[in-house]
Amino acid sequence: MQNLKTVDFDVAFTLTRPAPADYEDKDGNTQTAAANEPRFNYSNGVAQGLMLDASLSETAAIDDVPAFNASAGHWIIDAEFFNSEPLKGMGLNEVFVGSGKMVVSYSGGTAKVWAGGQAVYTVASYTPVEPTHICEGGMATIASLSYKPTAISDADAAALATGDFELTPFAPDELFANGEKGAWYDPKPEYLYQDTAGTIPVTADGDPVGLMLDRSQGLELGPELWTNALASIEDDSFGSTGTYTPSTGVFTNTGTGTSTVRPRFNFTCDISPNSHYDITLNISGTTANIAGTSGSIHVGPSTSSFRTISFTFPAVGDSLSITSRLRSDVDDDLIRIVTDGAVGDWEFTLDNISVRELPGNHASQSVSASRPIYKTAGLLQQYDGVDDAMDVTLPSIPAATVITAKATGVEVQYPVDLSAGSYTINASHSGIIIREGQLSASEEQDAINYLSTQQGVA
Amino acid sequence: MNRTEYTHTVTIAVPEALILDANHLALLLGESAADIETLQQTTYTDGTTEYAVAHTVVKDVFLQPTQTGTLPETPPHAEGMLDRDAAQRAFDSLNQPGGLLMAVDVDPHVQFAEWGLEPIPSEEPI
Repeated sequence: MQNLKTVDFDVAFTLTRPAPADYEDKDGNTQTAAANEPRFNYSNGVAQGLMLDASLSETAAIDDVPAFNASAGHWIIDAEFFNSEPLKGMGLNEVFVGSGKMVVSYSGGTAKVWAGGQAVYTVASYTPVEPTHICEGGMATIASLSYKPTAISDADAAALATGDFELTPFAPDELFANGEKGAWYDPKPEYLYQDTAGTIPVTADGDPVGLMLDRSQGLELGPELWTNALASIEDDSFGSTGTYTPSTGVFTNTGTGTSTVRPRFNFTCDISPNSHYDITLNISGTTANIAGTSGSIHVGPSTSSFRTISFTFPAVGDSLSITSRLRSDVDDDLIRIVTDGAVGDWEFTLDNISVRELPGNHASQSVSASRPIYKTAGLLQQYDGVDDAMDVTLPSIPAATVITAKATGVEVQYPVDLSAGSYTINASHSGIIIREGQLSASEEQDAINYLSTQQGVA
Repeated sequence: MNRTEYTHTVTIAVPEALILDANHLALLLGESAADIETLQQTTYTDGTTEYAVAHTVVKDVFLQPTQTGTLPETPPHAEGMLDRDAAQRAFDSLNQPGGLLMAVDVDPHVQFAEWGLEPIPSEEPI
């Protein structure tokens, strides 16, 4: 505690954080604050203030506001905010990015946030309420926070508010910032593909949708899963015999055999069922003795023909780079590489192989005739009411909130008990948010406001 | 914005007895190995025969066999799965008595009614 230094706060607060966390002390040394211990951070010997990081579940509840005035008052905050809502609970309901001095004033039924010498946000019909927390969400460093139970003129507020702050537009991924379960389907072309492998983008009005990505987890690829560890080779008892050389990436087959799927090369790879993976690789080599009209290679987690990526070999002497996406429906922790049947000896090389998960509960439809279509008029994703459907496998989400952008408006359902399993989306929409638990009033309103601006929503 | 290649729609009704054959035709004319599961259960009836139905957007190439009378070569996604004889049987029955019903660029629900088909009542609310 000796390295902590309080700064100028005239409100009492209680900090909670479930685990220890680091901060920099005045001498530039890294210190560790115990659970529930405030972190007053320094940078190169200069006091920065109280650190609040929502990703650490770190909150600062306001215990007491001195002489709170329910008619008029103003707050002066010297802080740095990154996607954080200041004075949570007083009814601003907006997230800011920026640093410096901010003034929040209220009187006569109006509240204003001042920054850069001007009002940057106004709540036109405001009922004064004491805030419950210094801020909420994102990251913040609070150098000072003071409250005065008196009105302040616009001119004085503007003069005091020298900081530079901007409103952060709400996006539904904020609802998942702390790892909450669920999904956010945003059926715009940049998140849609015509095929389940995610190789053919949706680009035009009327294109079918075979894969709709879940944006809730940010669509950032996970760590590399490919280890180049060969688990087994399954040969054909009639003659096909495979070899693999890990150092060169060379696959060979000697003999003809009779099976259409031998030899099989099985590689250890930590894949999970109902998850999507991006696979990239480069192929080169001779392929003339691989059977089939197209001489194909198949890469996937199982023998299921629906859950592999398949591609034809390049011409002899050429190489081909492949990027594809597939969904695992098995839990065998294997990536299997198999060719069409052999009609003689062959050899090819696969290198630069990569297998990375694309986290999220992505929705897909493998049957061509059952795919909904993307539209530029009316709702973004339209179903024919006959056989169209998108399938998604969800984990158990008891008491979920489901918000849907429909032609008639935005519909909120809570609680919706979703047991682990497969679900079907079969009604036209312009966006769906599924999230565990009940949203706060401000979160729900933000989500409604966001979805109500989507195409085709009344 | 680009123009979609899917410039037509087709509406299909398949008598229960022809569902397996029709799925091989769907696999042959479709774009995915999973198209072998295009038609699964009957949901419409004309009072005596039950039908499985489908409606989808299609490219021009999908309609070529109906103009040429010839089915295309087996695409890569169907290799090892396709029963061409079954697909041919389904194709030959197209719009014949007791065969597959198909219409192009129509409202599916209007077309089902014109074919005399009504939804089979479901025990579960839709």
